[in-house]
Amino acid sequence: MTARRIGDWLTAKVGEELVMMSAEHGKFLGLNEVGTRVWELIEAPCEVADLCRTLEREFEVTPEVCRAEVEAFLNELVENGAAALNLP
Amino acid sequence: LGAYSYRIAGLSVSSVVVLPGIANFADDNRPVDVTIHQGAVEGTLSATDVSSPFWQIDREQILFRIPNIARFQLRAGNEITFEAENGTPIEDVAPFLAGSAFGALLHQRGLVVLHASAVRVADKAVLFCGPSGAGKSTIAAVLAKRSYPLVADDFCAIDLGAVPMVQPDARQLKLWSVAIERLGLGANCGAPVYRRADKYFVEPNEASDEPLPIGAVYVLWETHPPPTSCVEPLKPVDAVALLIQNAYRPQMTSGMDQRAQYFKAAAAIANAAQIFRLTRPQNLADLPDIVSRLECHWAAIGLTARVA
Repeated sequence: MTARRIGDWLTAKVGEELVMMSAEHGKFLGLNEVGTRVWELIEAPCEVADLCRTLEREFEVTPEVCRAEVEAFLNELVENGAAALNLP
Repeated sequence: LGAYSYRIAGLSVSSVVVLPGIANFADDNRPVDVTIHQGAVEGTLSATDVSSPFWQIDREQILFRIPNIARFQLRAGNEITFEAENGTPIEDVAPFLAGSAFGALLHQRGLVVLHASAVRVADKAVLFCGPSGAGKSTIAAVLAKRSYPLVADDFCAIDLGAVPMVQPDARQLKLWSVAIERLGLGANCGAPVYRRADKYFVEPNEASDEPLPIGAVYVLWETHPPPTSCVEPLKPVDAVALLIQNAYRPQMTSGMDQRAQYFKAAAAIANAAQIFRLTRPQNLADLPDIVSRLECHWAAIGLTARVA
């Protein structure tokens, strides 16, 4: 499964958060440090398995927790029109 | 050159018409930044980037029309030309010159404008924003009376630069007669606001005339029913969304490029200053409480509470 960004999102770092705005969707999102890293990593289409491996190296997290949280986060981005998931 | 001199959004303005609710401000040592004059306004632009029935924008100029009032042409951020429509008297055009036309001109100059009133606390500007009727002007009037000089009322222009700076504006406060009476500002009361029943221009007790960095922004929030007022910090995402919601945007800013500009501006403001939600009951009885709450809050966030 690969994840990639979609939509017209503008981003700006405000304090510790990455604030995102979509004029098309009329929506704002705020990403924490890990969310911001995921957003960076899916700039180009990225295998979710590779994404999780990178995050496991960079943050203190077990593979199971990482996978579950990444999937939940990606689904949130999908629901907000910020990312798309492609099954192989 | 025009016969009337004003300070609007930190700029020195020369106008052929009286601008209602703005104190005359002549500074002989300062060159004129913006001139406002009457003349013919052509209907179309050659290369139009953004277009709607009433707005035309390209790199050199902005044209817009308030139907049955006037057409306006803004050039290079330093010249406003207007042509009244259908014999509309000049005094009916004037409010649009100081409002929509000047807002668009500031856009040309790369400034953003918030629907906010601001006072000076120590060496910073403290902003109050919110929709019409939220109490921006009333709170600013109370604070000006308590020796916090007024920086801007309702029309708060911000020059982004390296540090966002609030530009001083010589606009008078616009207050309802009930607020004027409650605050004991009858002696400062001037002419009624154009076609606004029961609302008057009021001279602030003290005013500040220098650009200031932003100390804090309070987004006004009404409670129903009101228990007490409170101040809470906003998360960055909510701060940015609310700042954009409070942007003074003529219709033209629905264009993509302006939205991006306002997003960048809101992020810059949220990085430069803390943004808070100020929840308060919608009545005048709470004003003494609001003032003491704000002064405590300024001490807590490191803004000196009282200007000497």
